[in-house]
Amino acid sequence: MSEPVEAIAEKRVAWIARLTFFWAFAIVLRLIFLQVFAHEDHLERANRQHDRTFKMPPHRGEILDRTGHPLAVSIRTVTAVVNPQLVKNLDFFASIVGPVLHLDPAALAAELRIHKELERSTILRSRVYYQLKRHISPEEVDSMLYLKRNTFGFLELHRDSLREYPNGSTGAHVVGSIDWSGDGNSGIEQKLNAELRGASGDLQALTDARGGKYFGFFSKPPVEGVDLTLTIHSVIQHEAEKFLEEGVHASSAAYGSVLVMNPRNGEILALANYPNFDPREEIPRTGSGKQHALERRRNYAVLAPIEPGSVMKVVTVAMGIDTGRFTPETEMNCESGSFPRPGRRPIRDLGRHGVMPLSMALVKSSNICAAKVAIALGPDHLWDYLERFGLGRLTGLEAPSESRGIFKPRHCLDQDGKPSKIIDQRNCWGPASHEYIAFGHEIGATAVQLARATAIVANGGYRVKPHLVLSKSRAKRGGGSEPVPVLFQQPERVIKPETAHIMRRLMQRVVDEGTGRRARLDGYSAGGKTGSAEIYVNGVKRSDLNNASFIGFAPVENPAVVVVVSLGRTPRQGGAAAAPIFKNVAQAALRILQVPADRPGDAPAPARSSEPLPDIDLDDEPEPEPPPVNLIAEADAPRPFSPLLQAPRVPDFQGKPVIAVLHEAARAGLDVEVLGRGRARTQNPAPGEFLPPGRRIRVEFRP
Amino acid sequence: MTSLAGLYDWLVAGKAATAADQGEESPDYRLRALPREDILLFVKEIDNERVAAVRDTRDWFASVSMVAGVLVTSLLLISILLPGGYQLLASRRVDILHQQREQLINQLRMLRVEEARMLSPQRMEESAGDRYVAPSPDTVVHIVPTAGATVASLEKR
Repeated sequence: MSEPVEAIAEKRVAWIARLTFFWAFAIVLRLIFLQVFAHEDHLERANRQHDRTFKMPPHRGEILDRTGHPLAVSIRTVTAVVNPQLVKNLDFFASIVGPVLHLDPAALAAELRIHKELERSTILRSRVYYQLKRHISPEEVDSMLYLKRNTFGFLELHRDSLREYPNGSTGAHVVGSIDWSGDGNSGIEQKLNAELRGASGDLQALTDARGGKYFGFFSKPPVEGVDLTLTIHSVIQHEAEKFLEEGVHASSAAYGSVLVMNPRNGEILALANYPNFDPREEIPRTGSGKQHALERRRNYAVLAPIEPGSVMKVVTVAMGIDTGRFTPETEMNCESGSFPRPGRRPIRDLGRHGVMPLSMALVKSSNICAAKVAIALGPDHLWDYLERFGLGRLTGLEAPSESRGIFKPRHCLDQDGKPSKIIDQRNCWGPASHEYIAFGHEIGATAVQLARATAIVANGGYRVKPHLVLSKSRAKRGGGSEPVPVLFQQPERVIKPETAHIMRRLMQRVVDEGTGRRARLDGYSAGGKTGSAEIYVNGVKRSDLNNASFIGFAPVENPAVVVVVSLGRTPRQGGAAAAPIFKNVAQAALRILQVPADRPGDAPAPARSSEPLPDIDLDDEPEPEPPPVNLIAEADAPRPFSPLLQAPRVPDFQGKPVIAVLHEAARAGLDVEVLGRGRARTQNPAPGEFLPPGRRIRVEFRP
Repeated sequence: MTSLAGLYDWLVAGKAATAADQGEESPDYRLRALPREDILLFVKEIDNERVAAVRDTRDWFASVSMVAGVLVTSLLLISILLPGGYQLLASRRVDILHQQREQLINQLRMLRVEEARMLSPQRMEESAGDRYVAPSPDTVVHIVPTAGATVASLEKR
């Protein structure tokens, strides 16, 4: 007999209830397991899924010139990459992606195939990704995103950064360049890489299923790169590079450099080298191209010391005058072309100078007289003055691989003060070293060191620190920027202002009457000194090649610029090869800096000494045509205005007698124009004002 | 009282019957009733016309309090969850604005680069061509400096 329907239904209901109970019980057990025992593990997994840490790279700092013109700016870009192992049909992939990225599909397919095979053969196992194209345009990004969403999900678009140099090769040796990883590899980009680069931050963010951020905070905020404002004036820099290139070609030199500096504070206004390079071009990784690129990146002005030659006589003569043992009028016997000494190489001049004042010895660039000054004062004095002029010392310029120059130790002594047996005595000063160093042999200096030494004469006796960074600032995340302090070294007095004043006058005579006549400026007075040094190539002296140099400043009264020109391996002398470059560069710099002409119109005929100057110096070249005599009165000269450069403050002469005014002006290394007699009543410029370059102080005296 | 067969006849077979009545021939497809079908599918008709509705105040209060409770709880939940939700929305908005700001800064940098490239001395000189002539010093007129016009870079530090 069959079981009643109700009983069957009750049994079924009971089974269903039991199953439901166990099901619910199982869920509860599972929940207990998940929520209690596996809580931490799942919490961590959930956090990993939703909480992500993004590395936030900082902006690399900008580099601006002193007028705010951008020299280097970083722009965010995108780079398209792909893992070739994930691409099944390389030809199809290349035929789609190639046109989108403006690449040749066949070449792209071939590259991908090679990369894929290399990866398989373990050579490039670590390099999984192939870089399709760096720095793709926004339109290309949109197209690639479309392809990634719809066709090729394995495409990757990585954030990248592009360093733009809008001035191209102008100022390339100063600014430098960066490598593929974003680190500087030359110039200030390398020297101040850590500051420019900043530090990346960590952004903790909640993400949705698509990976989009919807809530985030910085667990470690990024430190933005420091923006640098350089002392470089991009227009002067451009002019300097242009004239240097012309000069190098005209003199058949192998390389050259020009440096323009403000002598008052050491600000480098232009630093040019030839050959030049384009910072946008990356250095090839191998081959001769790499060597060539590295050579073009050499900053000769900073890392290549040259024998200064006659330029060194400025230091020697300044030493003689500063010590009080010599005056410009001191009569000296410069011999008859040769100065023999027992047991030593004779010192030679190309001309027979005979007896002449020290000033003329500098004008005629006599090696013998320079050596006699050093002999009279001794090696210790010369050593002291070389150190005062900063030769053999690093300048601290913000450029990589700065050379200390070639500067032998004074004594080869060990720790006990006895002659060292370890150090080769030839690497130290010998008994006659000071005689040769006096006219620029046995010593080497970089263009920056020469500029610092010249600035001492130009600024009235202060040794300044050449520098390239004018100011620093860092962008704030909320907008705006905050200043970053810049360490500045105070100028240090190393020679008397009277000495500097006398030296400026003597160097002016070198330009007006002596070996530097080709450096004479139109409308401005200028002082300078030529230099030529024979060179050795592979240990062999080459009498047909020189390192030609010229150091100078303008205007002579309160100079606005110091210009150093250095040319390597030229068959011409400093007066012929380097002085014209000085003229062009200084002229352009003074015009750009709006320094008023102190010889308005064409330069007046130089005040010649009674003795005619024969062209006998090593550096001498045929004298150029003398310019027409200036007919414009000095009173009609335009008023000076130079907003860029600092100048000395004008002292207060009010109520003082003439002699006191002259004493005070001499101590400050300034020129005074005296009008009348009695006590100073009026003066122009007023006390406390900056004295514009090239201008005298006019003081009127009344009883 | 009805049965499955009756229901079927009522729903479907009615049309066939109508068709048969109209003279068309149709097979006898009607189902026979299953045994005890009328009992299993018995529908009892209830006549509640004589039942009087009595208002239960306690029950009414219970239902009202239930509704009020649900409302208050909902409001509490909303007030607790709303700031968080709003924060999420605002965060997303802030993030979008950050991205837009980054993009705009990038655009600004690109424009500055373009401007600097166009104003670079080299390009200016190329643009000027033969017309570029450096003035001689005697043709330059310098503006008389006004008080405070002298800018010393050292003092800007």
